[in-house]
Amino acid sequence: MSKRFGSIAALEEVDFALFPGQVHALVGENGAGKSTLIHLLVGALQPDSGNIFVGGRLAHFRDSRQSVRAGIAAVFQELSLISSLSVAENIFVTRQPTRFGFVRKTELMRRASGLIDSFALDLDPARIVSSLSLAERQVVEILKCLAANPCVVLLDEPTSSLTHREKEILFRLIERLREDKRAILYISHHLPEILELADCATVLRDGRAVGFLKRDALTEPNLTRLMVGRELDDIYEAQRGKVASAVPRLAVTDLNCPGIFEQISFDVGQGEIVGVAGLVGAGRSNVGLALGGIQPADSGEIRLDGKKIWPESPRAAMAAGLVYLPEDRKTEGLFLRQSIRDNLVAPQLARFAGKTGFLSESDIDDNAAAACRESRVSAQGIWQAVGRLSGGNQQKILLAARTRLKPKVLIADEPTRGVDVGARVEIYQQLRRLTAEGASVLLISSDLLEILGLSDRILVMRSGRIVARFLRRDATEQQIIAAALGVSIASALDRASSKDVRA
Amino acid sequence: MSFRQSFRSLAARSTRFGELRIFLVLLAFWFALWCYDSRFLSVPTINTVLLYLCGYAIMATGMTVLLVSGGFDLSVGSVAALSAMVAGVLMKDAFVSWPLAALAGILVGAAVGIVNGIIVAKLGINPFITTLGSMLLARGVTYIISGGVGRSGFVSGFCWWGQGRLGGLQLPILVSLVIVAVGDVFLRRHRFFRQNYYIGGNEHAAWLSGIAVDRMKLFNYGFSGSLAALAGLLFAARLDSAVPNAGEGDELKVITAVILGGASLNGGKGTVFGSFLGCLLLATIRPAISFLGIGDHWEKAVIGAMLLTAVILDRLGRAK
Repeated sequence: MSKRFGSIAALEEVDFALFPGQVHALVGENGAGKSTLIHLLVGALQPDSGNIFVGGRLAHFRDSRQSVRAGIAAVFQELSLISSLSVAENIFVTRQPTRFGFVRKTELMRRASGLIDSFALDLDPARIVSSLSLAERQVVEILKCLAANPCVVLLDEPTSSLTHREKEILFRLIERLREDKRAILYISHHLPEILELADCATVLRDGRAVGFLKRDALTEPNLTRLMVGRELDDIYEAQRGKVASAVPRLAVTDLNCPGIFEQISFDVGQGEIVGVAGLVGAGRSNVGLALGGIQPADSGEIRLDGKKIWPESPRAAMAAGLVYLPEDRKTEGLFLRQSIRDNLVAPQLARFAGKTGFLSESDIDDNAAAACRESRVSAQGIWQAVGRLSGGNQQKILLAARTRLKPKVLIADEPTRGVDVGARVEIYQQLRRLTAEGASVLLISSDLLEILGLSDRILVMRSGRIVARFLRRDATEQQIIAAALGVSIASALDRASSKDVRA
Repeated sequence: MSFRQSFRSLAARSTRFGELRIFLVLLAFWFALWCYDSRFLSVPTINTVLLYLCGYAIMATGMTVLLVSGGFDLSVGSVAALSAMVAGVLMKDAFVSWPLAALAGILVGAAVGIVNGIIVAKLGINPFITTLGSMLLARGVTYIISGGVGRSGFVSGFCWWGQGRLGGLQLPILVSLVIVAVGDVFLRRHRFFRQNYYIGGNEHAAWLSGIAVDRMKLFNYGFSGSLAALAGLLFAARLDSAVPNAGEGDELKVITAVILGGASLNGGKGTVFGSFLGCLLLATIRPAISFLGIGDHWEKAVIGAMLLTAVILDRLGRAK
């Protein structure tokens, strides 16, 4: 099976082949052409020149239905589930078993549980999707694409919101697909995953395939060098080796929210980054949401610079200096149809208004241009709609809009989710710059390397409680995982090795 | 800022002049009519058109703000009638002085709007259903308090607002132009009104950005209700009568005009000036039809076809 593409602006003369039973990784920075490539493969876009062959036969996809019929199925970054329907109905959305045109409910459930069982997953097909976690939805998304029994499976950033354990489930699923002799195209920014999973990798840069790596050449330095086109010695660069300043900026005492988190006490010093690690559902985000005034806690005490505050809305929290950076930039953070400049001023219109309340458009323009420069946003101009930017650039805009509020404490919830290495580095620099200016950062992240690389101190949460605290220099990856899982280090290592045996 | 930069920003701004399309359509329409019969662009016709649209233009100002914020108001026509009737009943039956009666009318409009806002913002009920309910309720109350009959013979102080002239322009026209102009500048440039674009663009993100979404919605519905009340009062003053079926179907015409003017039911876009142009286009159709001698019953079909054409063109334009 081979696929060829011709030149469209975003993609130039990219050739590559997928083989049954192989996981082929596709890596590249923002705007390298990964999305365009997938859209071509599923027929959402048509190539200007070049051909796609499926099973040796030339294929022309005018729309996605034709590509599905040819045996290509894709799981996109954005979830496409209907949240008011059940798991089973979502999996078989276009191919529900019917009799005389009526849906056969029991048959539907039976098939769904058959599919779920065949991957040894723990999921009730009757559950409504809106009650599932993000990770479970991702699994349903993949099952949905498998329901068509495709020979080629495209996975676009499938792990961007998953925790360690959830990733394992996903990897098992991919392993199964490989055994079933399906061809898998795996797109990810996460180099460790690629190293673990892929049989070979194609690296895209600026719309061109700049490298093809076989299994034995597949190493992190090789990949990053090809992706970025320069050496990235260490993304997380030099540690500052600084100890928290004596005066805490933010002091949280005994924050409670029954059923979600309990007895949360910690402080964040001026200019300090405190990382919060833990599994999804451990209550990390909820603490962030409580501090940001989005879901206020039940009881407890929050002091900012020694002053007691109790934010009950994001507005109140921002006024006090606690700024929450939302986890999901598309639904919570940005105004996708609006321009970069309008997005950048959204949280602080008042700053650009005179005494009468009228806005100064030129100030807004200047502010936007400055922010784009500082954050190194690559865009056509400040009037471009944010929805047209790549994920990394969107995230930079969102971060810039929030940091321009001059927060005392920034609560960054998964600040680099679904963002490539290049943008990640710039986001880290921006967070560091913020702390250098005296602000503090509470970093909530599922990415352990990020937590270890950025934080001065690390808190680990499990089941709504802080179960461990580390200084950066004392913490290791194993310790954090063990604390997050609630097991001893030895048994965590044990688990990891027994998994290797199984694989 | 260098000359080149400022030129570029000017060029960028002019291409974003969202009203350009409807403006050109309107010019072409007028030019064609003027070619057909040069009497079309005479002072009396223009006056008729402006007088016809002034109520719509006032309601459209409030409606634009609502649509931009992702809201919707079906109750404006009924609220216009209700406010005029409240004022009429107070003046004729209770012998209240006209300024007080008019004030009461405006307050009733604002109150209906705020109730709409509370139901939509605080209880999270769909604006379509909410304002459909309040539309029927307001119309019903109008019939109840009036006993189904109109009121007329108002004092001249009240009627002056509908019939008087200032600098050659009839007052309702003047009032509507002032409201459109002020409304346009505020929605475009004022930090309070500008928040609506964010709410309409992504309500949740707007809230998380520290915008007081609920308060803003309450204000918007109250604003729309007050302007509808004002339109109803001016109409009653012009005709020297308040009738219970006044303004029936106006809400749909106003929404049509606002959408023709570039706003979207999805929120996040639109301007008051654009909506005014939409009203102008709508108001020109009726005299155009009589000029061309086609017959009045064509009006609705033409408006409907125009609305569909506008939204289809908009969608096709965006797909590219």
